[in-house]
Amino acid sequence: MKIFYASDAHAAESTFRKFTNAGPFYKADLVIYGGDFVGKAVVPIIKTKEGYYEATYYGSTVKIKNEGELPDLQKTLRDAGFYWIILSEQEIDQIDESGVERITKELQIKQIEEWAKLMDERFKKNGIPCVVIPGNDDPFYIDDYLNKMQYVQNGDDKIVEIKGYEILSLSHGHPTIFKYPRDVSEEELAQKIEKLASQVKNMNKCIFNIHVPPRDTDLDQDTLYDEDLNPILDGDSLATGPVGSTAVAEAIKKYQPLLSLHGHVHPSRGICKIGRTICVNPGSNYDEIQLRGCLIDINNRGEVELPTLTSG
Amino acid sequence: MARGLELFQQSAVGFTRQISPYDTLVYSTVNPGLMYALVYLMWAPFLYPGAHMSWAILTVSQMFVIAGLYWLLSVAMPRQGGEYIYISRILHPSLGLMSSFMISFTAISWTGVCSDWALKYALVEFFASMGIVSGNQMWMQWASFLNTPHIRAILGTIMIFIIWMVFYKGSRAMMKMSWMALIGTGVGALTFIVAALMADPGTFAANFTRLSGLNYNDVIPLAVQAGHPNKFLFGATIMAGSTYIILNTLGATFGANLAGEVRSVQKSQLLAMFGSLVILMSAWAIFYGLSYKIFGNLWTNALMYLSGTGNAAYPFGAYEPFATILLGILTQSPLFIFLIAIAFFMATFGSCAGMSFGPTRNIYAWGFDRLVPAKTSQIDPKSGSPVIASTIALAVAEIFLLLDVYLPAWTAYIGYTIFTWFLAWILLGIAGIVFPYRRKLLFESAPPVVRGRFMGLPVVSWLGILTTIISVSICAYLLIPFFKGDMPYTMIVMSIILLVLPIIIYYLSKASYAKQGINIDIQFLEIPAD
Repeated sequence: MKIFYASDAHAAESTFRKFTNAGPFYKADLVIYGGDFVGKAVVPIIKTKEGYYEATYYGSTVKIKNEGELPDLQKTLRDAGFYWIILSEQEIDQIDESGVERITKELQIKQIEEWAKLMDERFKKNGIPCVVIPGNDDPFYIDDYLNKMQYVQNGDDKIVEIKGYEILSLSHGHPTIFKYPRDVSEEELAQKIEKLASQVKNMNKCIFNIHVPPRDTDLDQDTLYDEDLNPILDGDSLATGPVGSTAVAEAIKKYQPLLSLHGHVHPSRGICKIGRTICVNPGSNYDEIQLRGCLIDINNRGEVELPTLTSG
Repeated sequence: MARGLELFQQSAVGFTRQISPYDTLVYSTVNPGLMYALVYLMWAPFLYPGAHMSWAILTVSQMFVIAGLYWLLSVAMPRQGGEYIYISRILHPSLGLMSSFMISFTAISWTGVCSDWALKYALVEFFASMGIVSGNQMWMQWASFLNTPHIRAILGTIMIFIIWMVFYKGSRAMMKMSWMALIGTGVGALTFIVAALMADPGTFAANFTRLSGLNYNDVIPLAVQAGHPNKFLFGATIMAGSTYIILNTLGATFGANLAGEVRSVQKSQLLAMFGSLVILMSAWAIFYGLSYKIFGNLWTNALMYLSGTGNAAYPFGAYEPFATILLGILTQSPLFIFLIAIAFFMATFGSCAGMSFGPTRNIYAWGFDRLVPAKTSQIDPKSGSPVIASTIALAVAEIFLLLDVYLPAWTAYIGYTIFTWFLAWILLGIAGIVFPYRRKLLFESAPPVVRGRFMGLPVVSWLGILTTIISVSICAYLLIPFFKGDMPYTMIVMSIILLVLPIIIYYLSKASYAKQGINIDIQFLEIPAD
């Protein structure tokens, strides 16, 4: 059986659309998405009194004089994983924190509705089963839209059986400095995994689909931040270190599933082994219209062949 | 900034891009190294007799075209890896590896060769200059001792080891090396300016005659007798500029290799690539303009010709007519000799590190894509640097250091580096031409600056066409001294090795993974979005 796995599209439109086409492209028998649908920022496109439009992203300000060029800018922003909204100078001056929150929520919901519909249509059309979960970045209100899908399954916090393989999925993560919506304590995370693992009939045919990677592996190395969200310096350079979950690492060691799939730490693309379990984090380059993924073959003897990391 | 805009920005969680636009500018400026201009002032007039080195600076305008292509591609694909990413994604992974390998190992070879230059032209020539000016044989004995191959090999190896430690420390430490190189260059330029203000050409001519034992006025007739044209030639100027002056600007595009680590890619790449070219041109105007003013323009070329051809009349034996010697003769001041030597050392040592720093990121990218063993993409958890890629790069640099010391014919005039580099840029040019058509989705989603058109054709394609033409013509210019016999056959052999080796590596890697049932090409195929 051939599995394609990807995660962390973070609102990047074309990258996500590529995900919905990845199944037939790679001739996969099963497609799994490992979480984090929503984007990290809204970019206001400000309509100025002079009549032009201005948007600031990646530290650069883009000015547009001709309204006809707006769709190009909007597409660029969507593909980079930004939500956009057009506001007048007066509106941007008057907005408060609750207004920003409301706009962000509305934009996230609008997109996840569209994406859920798109996934259902495309995977159904190709007849390829697909299991998705939210990630720790994703607010709980997106779950309603994922649960409404008819063909694609929201596998979060349950065991889904497909073609004889049990997929154990979990969107929650351990505590992070960014205090994401689904961050829980390591103890609580361990309990959640424990509860699910106890329902697995055969660990030799079990695939963990847990958003956060195991701690102290090649899959969880990232920049470290202090309490004020400033990067920590190590001498002259940015400090990097393990940011994964100990609960996940312990669970893999204890249960030794056939395969363990993770995302969350975008730069830490890699493959490692914990005991007999092959663990994968394909990383994410969502803002460059590049779908980082992983192709995994399970041979007739039920063994995992060496996975291939893809950049599609 | 409007309060509302701040609120939107505060709600974003984001990117950790640690190298600032100004750091990128410095990095691009000091690589390969401004002060190498003083080395090429010796070589180019010999290889292209009749070249006017001040006017030749204008040929750098060709680099604006290539920098423009890099800029647009780096804005469209802001990832570490530079041309490797562009060519792999646009043309084919094997061609991406080929071009990146050629450029990377050319740059890495400079780390080795230029470590030797830092010793030869800063340390050895410091002692030689002191000996010539003072007449004290003790200085000459030290110069001779330090010039022995074993000593140069040992000192060069120590320098390469220090560079390895800088790489291990990471990007910020590397940036400090770049600043050191820039300060060294500033000291060198100031030394030139002050020396020029202090003395006049008549003083130099008189001092030269007295200290060298060769009459200043005999230098041009001797060179003419040996075949040097006693005039400046347009063609020779274009060719010398397009090869040896442009050689000094190649690092202007290195910033693209750091695109994954820079803030606001569009602004920083623009500033780095174009800003560095302007700084470089200004610096050379000082070095070459003042050299011609102080020493005499035709005379300078004639002396370089006598040295290059190994003419018996050349008065300084094994010591090339480097700036240390010429400024020493002009000023007769140990302080000036020391300043120019220390400036050259700082600039060269700083840039030696920079020349391999970008390529280590390339090796890291190849490892990620399984084109070389995946271990090369391993990041050291403590320093966050690609430690195995750095070790490979500096081991190769060490080999080139030893070649330069013990088998100098293999690195002669570093002709192979220019030839190899521009062969690789032919592929980059082709990638630029076809980018809007082969990667339509990426092109159409790129920021507006990338999608500009001129006369109906995408600007990026125009830049690709011009890059291809410039690269082909520069390769042709290098074949002229090769066919004249002034450049050894090793230039071609070395270029062919650097051309063929990556293809062999690619197919070995492909075959090795195929045995495990993995098709490495599949990882590069682009999935359609719709």
